[in-house]
Amino acid sequence: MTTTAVPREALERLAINRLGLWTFFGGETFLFGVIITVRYYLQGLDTPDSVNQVLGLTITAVLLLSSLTAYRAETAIAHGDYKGFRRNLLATILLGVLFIAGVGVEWFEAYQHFPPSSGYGTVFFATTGVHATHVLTGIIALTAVYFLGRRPGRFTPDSYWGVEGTVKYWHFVDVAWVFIYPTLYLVS
Amino acid sequence: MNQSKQSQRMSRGLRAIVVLAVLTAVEFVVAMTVSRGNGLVPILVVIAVVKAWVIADYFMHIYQLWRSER
Repeated sequence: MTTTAVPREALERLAINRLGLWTFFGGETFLFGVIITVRYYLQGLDTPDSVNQVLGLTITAVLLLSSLTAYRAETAIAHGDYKGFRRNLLATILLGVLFIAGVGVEWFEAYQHFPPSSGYGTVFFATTGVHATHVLTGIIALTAVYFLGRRPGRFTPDSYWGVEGTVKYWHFVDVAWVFIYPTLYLVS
Repeated sequence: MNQSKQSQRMSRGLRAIVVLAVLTAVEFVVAMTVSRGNGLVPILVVIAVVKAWVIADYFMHIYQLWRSER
């Protein structure tokens, strides 16, 4: 956090922005909550043996690691470390792309064992599809922030809401996966 | 001074990711070894909630909603 004085109006605007973002997260929580609930309603606690556990664990690790790099990017810009900001933001984007690629591989395998027309396939593809869409929009937002951050003075230690908001959204997508992963892979 | 504060925060992030990695490993091992009848689902729910809290607190700084700081 910066030690320089920040105008009161700026702090109030920041508080409003944060409240708005968390309200949005509340709405998204209901969305993911409903999707996860449907899994249990339609399929109970049954999970096919053909679910790729190694792949599931790997993409989970990738997404968790991307949360670390996103956190490091935000911390860097908060302390005026622009090189660290760009480096860690780029790493986050690349890890996000890797996660999407992993989901693609998972879909290819899953389609052969439980296609979307099957009971488990319906919940699997719907849940991972909605989550992957969120990851994709996160990647697009992070990329936009990355290129905006290359402009001198666009983000400063006293004003980096664009970074903070996008990174928080990325962490939320990770939180969603924290509940989706055991729901689709581990409950059996 | 600024660099030291940044290093402290970076270390905090590293500690959080280690906790998350350990919880994920425990979650995986539990799922592979504990049966449904022996409380698998409640254990997984608790681990998921703890992981979500770690991310919300350490990474998302949810406390900023009620604490007035930058």
